[in-house]
Amino acid sequence: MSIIKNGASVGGLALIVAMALPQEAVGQRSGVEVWSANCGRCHSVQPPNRYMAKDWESIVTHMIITARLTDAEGEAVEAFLLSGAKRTGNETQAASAEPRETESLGSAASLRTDSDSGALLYKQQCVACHGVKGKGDGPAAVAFNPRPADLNNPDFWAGRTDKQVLDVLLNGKGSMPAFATVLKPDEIQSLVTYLRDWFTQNGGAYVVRTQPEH
Amino acid sequence: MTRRSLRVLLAAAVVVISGLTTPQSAAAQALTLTGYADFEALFENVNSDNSKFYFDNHHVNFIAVGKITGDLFAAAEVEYEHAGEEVALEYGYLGFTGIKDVRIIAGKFIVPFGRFNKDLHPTPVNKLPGRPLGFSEILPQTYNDVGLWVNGAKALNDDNRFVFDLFMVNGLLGGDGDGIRSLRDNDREKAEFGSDDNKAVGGRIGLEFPFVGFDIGGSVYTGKYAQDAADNSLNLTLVGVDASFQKEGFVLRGELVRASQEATGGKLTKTGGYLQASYMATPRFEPVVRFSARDMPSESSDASRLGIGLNYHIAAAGIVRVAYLLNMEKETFKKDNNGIVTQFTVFF
Repeated sequence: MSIIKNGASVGGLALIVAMALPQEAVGQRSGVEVWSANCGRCHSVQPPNRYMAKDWESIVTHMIITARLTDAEGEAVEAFLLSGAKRTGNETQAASAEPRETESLGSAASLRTDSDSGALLYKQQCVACHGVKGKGDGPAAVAFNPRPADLNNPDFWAGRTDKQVLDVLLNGKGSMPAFATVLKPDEIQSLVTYLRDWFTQNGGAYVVRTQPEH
Repeated sequence: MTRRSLRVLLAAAVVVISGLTTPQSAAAQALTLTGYADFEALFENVNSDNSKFYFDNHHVNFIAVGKITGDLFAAAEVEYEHAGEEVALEYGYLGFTGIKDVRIIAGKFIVPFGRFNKDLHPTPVNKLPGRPLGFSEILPQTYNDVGLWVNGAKALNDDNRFVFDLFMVNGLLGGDGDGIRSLRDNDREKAEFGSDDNKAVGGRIGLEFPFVGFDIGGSVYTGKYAQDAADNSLNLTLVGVDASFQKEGFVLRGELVRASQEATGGKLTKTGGYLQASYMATPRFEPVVRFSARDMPSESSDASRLGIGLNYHIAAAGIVRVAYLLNMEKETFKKDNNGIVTQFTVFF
């Protein structure tokens, strides 16, 4: 029984050490960042619309154990994956019947606010798939077919109004997850402002002006 | 700790877990079926008269995972290997997730020793077909066992964490000096080796820096595996270290395991390890190279292997791999046993 005794002692000691470590304050990293940085360490990252919400709940719990994530990291990843989970026909119909109200978030003019926070949000929420330069080549881009949009492509912006971009951010489209449950309305406004300002120029030339500073 | 006090402790743990779990309606239960499968075309002993070419349906593994109720969770993997020739339960356990950052698991699980055995062996994850040398005869991958497992993570800051796995299992069991791989499957005390009250214990601790792309860990396993003619316990101890670094599609990974096995004829020391590099050169193509080696008590069993492969990612869930495996034994024991493997693997 000495092995049990020694094992119990070592195990108890390790648990005490683990519990005594400082409590985390996860909050600076978004779910998509945690997803991109951790899930790709062992296997190809899977896009949110690969599974339905009920499946993601079980799979994420399984992966929290397997990948040894903290609870906060697991919750952040789950929130991100659920935001873009595959929907049943009924769920899609329900979502289409009650689209989130974009007008209540403000006019295009009022969206031109707080570009700095938009840059931070782009880094937190978009870089994993769209890449630092918006080319659709982020570390998680390989998970998507079709690949994430190239935000530098003039054609991407030519046919889209701010309201349409806002609508996609809120409700998702194709493999693009919905961010209505992940971000606050004013954060989505900031993101739209940043995307337009960063990836477009006045006069219709669609190029990247600067690198993100955050 | 006596056996009686251990039983009392375990019973108390079950009661505590039951009390912490909030019952929910049956409708809250969600079961998800996933898994993976692969097909291989193998050309073995390519340079010899004994060359052979054959197909293998190596794995069709079904994985069921689900939240039962509240903080209770269950997972199981049933594997059909070699076109169904071998059917086995890879793991099947109940988990309790109600303690912050800590999970308690009971049942049959893949023993959390190192990374290859626990996390990296499934074919959709293993970047080069087959096991590295040493991860069959020394760490007997896939090593699963029945017992208790406590696992968790504590954030060091926003980005990094300390992780730990602690386990107590029935343990590897067999005869004096037997090969380690043959010691597996002690799921309910192997009848031919009698009662084995001594449980094996071990675990892994690690530091993970996912946003830097670096992790490092150390593992240990120790337990009685046999008894000699005089009824003395013979112990087996495994120690291992693992590390990986990832940056923009490049992955460098290594792992080392060493076994100290007591035997009547003297201690048997066995060492094995691998170093693997891969790079996502394009969104689809990923070349891989892996060097592995084992140092065994018998010189005739020493070997090294260089594997060179190319992976084509059809999609996030499907990969075609082609690999050449160059096996190298010591000069006296040289064999013509190089191989070519083509593998198609998917997970669903």
